[in-house]
Amino acid sequence: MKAPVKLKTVKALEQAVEAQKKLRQADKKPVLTVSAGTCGQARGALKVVEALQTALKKAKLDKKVKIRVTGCHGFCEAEPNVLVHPHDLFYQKVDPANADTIVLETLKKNRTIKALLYKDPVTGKTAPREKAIPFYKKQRRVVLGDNALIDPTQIDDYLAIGGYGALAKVLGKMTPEAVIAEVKTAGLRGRGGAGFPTGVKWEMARSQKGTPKYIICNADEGDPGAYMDRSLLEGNPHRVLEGMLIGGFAIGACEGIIFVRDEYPLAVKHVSLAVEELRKRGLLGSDILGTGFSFDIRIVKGAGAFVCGEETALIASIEGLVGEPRQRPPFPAEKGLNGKPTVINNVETWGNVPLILGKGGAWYAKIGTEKSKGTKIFSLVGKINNTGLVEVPMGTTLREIIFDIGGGIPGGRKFKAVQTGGPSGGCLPTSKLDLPIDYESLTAASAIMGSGGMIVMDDKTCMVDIAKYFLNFLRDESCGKCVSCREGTQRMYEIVTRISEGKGKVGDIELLEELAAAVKDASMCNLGITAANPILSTLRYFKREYEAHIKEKRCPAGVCKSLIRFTVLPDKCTGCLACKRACPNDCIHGTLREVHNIDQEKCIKCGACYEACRFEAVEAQRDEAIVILEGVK
Amino acid sequence: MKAVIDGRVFEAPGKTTILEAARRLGLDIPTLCDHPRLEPAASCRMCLVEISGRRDPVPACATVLEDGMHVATDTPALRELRRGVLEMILAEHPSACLVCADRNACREPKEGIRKTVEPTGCVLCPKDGRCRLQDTAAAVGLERIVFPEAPRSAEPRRDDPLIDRDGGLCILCGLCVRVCRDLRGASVLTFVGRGGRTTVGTALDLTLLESGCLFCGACVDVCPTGALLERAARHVRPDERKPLLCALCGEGCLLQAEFDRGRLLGTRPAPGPANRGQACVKGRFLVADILGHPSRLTGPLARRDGTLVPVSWPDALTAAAAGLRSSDGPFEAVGSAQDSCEDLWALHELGREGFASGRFSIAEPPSPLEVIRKAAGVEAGEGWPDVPNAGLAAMKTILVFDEDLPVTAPILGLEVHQAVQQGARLIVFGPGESCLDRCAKVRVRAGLESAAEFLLEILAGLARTAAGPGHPGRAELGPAARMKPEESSRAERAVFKEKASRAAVILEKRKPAAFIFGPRFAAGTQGRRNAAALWNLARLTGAVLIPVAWEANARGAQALFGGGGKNGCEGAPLPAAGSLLLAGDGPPPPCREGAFIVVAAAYESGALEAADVVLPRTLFAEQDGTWVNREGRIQRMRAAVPAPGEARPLWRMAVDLARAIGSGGPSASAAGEILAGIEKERPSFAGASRAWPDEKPVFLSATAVSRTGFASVPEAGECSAAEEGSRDPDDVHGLRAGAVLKSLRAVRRR
Repeated sequence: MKAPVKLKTVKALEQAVEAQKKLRQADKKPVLTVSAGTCGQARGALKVVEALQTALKKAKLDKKVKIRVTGCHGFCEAEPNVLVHPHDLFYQKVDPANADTIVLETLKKNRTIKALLYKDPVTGKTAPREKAIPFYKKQRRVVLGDNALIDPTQIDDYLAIGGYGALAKVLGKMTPEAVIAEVKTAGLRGRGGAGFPTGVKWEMARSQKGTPKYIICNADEGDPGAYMDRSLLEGNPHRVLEGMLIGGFAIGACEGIIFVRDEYPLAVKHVSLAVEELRKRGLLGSDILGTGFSFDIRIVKGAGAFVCGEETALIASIEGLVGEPRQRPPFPAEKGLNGKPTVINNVETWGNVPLILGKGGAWYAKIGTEKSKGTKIFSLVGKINNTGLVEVPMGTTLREIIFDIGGGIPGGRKFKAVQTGGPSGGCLPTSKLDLPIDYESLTAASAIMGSGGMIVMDDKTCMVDIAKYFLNFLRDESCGKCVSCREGTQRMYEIVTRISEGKGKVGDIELLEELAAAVKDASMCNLGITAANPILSTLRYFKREYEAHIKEKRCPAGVCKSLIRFTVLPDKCTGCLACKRACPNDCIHGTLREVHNIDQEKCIKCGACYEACRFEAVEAQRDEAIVILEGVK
Repeated sequence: MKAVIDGRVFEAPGKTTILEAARRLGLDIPTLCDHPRLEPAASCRMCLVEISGRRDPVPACATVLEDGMHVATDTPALRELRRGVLEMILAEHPSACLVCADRNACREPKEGIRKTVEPTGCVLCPKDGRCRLQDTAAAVGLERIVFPEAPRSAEPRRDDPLIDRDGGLCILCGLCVRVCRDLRGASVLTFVGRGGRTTVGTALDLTLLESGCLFCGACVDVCPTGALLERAARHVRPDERKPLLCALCGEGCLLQAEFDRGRLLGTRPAPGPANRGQACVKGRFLVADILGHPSRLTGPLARRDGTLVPVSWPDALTAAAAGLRSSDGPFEAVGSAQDSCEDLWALHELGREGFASGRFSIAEPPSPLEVIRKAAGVEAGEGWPDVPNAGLAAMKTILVFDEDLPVTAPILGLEVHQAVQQGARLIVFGPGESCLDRCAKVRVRAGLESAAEFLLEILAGLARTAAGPGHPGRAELGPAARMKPEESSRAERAVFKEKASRAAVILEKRKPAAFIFGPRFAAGTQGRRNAAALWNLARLTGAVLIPVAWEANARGAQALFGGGGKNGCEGAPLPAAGSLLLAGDGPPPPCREGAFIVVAAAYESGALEAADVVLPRTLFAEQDGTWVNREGRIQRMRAAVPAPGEARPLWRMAVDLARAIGSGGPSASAAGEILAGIEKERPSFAGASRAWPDEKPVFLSATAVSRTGFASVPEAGECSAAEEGSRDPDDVHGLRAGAVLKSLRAVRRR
């Protein structure tokens, strides 16, 4: 391989992009695309790649067929998946053992392998093409879609899809002011959660006198169950880097910093490779493309504290201090890293920037709602059939996401609630399913957009338990600097725990509400300000469940261990042994086709039998012992 | 800038926080974590206020008041919010002392059937009654405790000298951590752990002593609760407080002395003009120990038949007068740079006018200021441009020579640290270690014998660019810059060259600069050489010179008598003295065999062995007096502590002796009269009699130094050996406090 040529002019970059585009168009080789993000690799994608290589060699096709190892395609449920080009086939859950078949059948004989196609869990229909799969059909994948087209370790792949074209345009023809104006026209808002208009933030930083200026890419994704940023950094690092280069040019920054969690090794690896590559190509460094714009990017690895996702804590962490926030204002755009003007944007926000500059702000503004433009990536997890990353235009309803794209709740269970925005988000009930999602509507409904986590819950979920779970997370992740967050989350957790254990008192709900209000008003950073959301939103929509726990000492969903006992209903039990097999503590007695029986002495109330039974024969009953104890008191 | 706070108009130029503005208007906003000398942390969330037009309340301490703002500090919603926050704080702090209905009743001890009265109730917190949390709870009007108490279950730690730590009382306001790190530069206390499990502690959970704590006590003073406490005064409540000027070093800290029925309990720093609420281990914890040390002399002694026996004052004075009168040879009065101006002046007058062949000297070797003045050829009568503490903030480069500032000049040390925090570059030269080293840009670890060489190396670097042909310093700098002493090793030179060139770059780019040097730098054979080189560098770079002396009144003594003391390099040897009045504790000046010696001392010490008469003297806090600190700040103070036994001020002894001898000399009935005399004779002391700490500050009136030329740097070994005297920054009139006091010994690791 020859050494990469250092690009010296904007024109050279434009030519490089065109050349790569042409190369790809001219390349008529069949391509096997394997999705191998962290999730794909966990499901064995790299073994599939290896098996495919061996199979190709065996079939003497290794020179004629290309294998492209890409980042995540979003459809986690179907990992690892293989796209066959130009046949336009989507094979899901591919095993290394399928490699030979794919090569021999599909590539050599042009036959579709039915067994590997996507099968709709509801209708049972198969879908050969990606576009035909309901999960993809309703999405608009303007940011994430390119993941399937490029090998994230190859800059040429990114150039081949027109990458760095936006940068060439910006550096060649535009002034920083024009770039900011374009971003403002697009109406892009921060994808990290708060939804601050990006263009306004850039303008603020640009107008500051202090130098040098910095930009930071916040890749400290900490919400449980959220992995949008990871997938984008893993699958398309150049897109984020291009966004940062454009942003750096717009505000007049000299350095960009990517603050990424150390728990994302693949993302760190890919983005580090990409930065190296950019330096080699002359797209980072001093006097980039002869325009006089000097900019470099370094990568700082975070130690995984949730609070470091908060911008001032993140800055403190980069400066080598304890990752604790400070009171704003001054905002980082005025006084940020090293006390200098700093723009912090989320990975996804940066990922949107090349799109806006490439296709124009007006084009971008056409997507989405009046106040929230563009698309948003959600990580759809929990009790949902099609787990995965979902990119939809702003304004899509929850129902479309959960039922049309997500394929509904598994096991035919009922939808109960969806939690948006991570631990400090809120739980929305069935009545909010038709809510078009944008920043304002979610806030009005006691939830937040957050970075895009979306956890779906079915009717076997106890909302008190959920509130307890999230409060425990926040209590643990509170940095402890300000009183209201440190003590408030701790006290709220204690009260909710008390309620879930059947020790709740009348007045606890009011106390929680009072406490939640104080924590919200008094806390320093957004971790504390939103820490009460799990309580506020569950109290707003599921107050009755709290009351059942407190007054009747009953957990309606059958989750809170202290309040329940599991029993087998003799008339429903078919004696299938499913629960017996599931029981981790061997406390279910019974033989095949005989009614089973749970040994209450030994039962640890894990609920495995309850989950395992397909006939609703295991029932979570209210534990009378609690009531009796209560009476004695 | 004009804004409205609680309906009242606030107008001021420049930036102020809402909290500051509200306080200036006399409005009381409860706070638990603010400190006038620290950046706001906004962590206690008590000072939340409302700004119209903003949705959420903001902390007043961290929010800058803007033009046209309407602020409300006391609305029902805010009261509710503050109560809520306080309830949360009290979930991590025992609260019986706050809300128990009987809390006042149980403060009084109960008369019982036992012979002693027994304390009742639960008010056992050592901070009870002087606790900022209690005050805040009262101000907020807290009535109930909502959450069960869950204080951090930390065992109280009593394994350090002077300070006890009780994590169970901590509310994590962070003041101690911030004052230790940001103000004192010690960084000993820190937060350990995170979230609800956070505690205040040290790295690796070492003791404070092991962590390098200097026990300045700043953390104890800022702690709003009883989590950090001075062990000595845990449960005693003072009934009287008086201002006291600390004369244990040259900083001139104003302290507040606390008394219980006339007994000095202890001292704490007061917001004095020089120290602004800070002190050091000696001023904070040890004043009472030093004043009340068991070796204090309480009555006069006279030698009868070879042994010193207690006598009355009149007898002692008669004996002293007779002895002094009858001895042959010149009389010499020896004072100390620790003495007040009045004491020194009276001794000086006694020496000058009481005897035909009398003279006066200072026991200590010449002060660093004196050394550099002589080296530079500045006239003795000229003033000296002193640098006030506030002036350090403007410095961009600070060069320190072997002074462990946090020990020898603690206030200057923290000002230097503040300056460094604001961007000044620090260059430290010397073999010793200091916590300031951590923030040094260039650290040269070498003995002071190489200081001149280092300076000359910098000069050589700078002279190449700055002092070009025709530059006024060319002639003097030329030979000096070329000088290459042979005794230094090659490796040493390489280090010097590299570090000196870095220092030169900093000095060239970042102005103004300040050079700080002390007695070690100016002592001995190399002292003059060092001083001359430093003077030249200061001339070349426009830097200010800050000499640090360890004695309380070194600056005053210098201003009164110029050199005055034993001179290192010049001056013909004087005829040996025939009689001595020794008030300083250095080795006695050369005297004849069988000379008559009167010693005025505060402590029993070896100096008494040669004494014919011993007169017990008072110390700084026990007498009226005036001291001049390092800044040239004249500070007058009244006696705060009763004198032990029959001890008398030095100036009074001088007056009494003059009267007993029946010759000329000082005559005064109060210290103020002597001060008035000084004012008359020494123009630089103009206004000194008005120099009370609560009045307008008075500085030695400084005339600009007229000498601007370069000094010629003597060759190494050119000047004669100066008497060095064993010096100790912890010396108090002969009491080696660092060795004698157990707790100070522990702190200083002796």
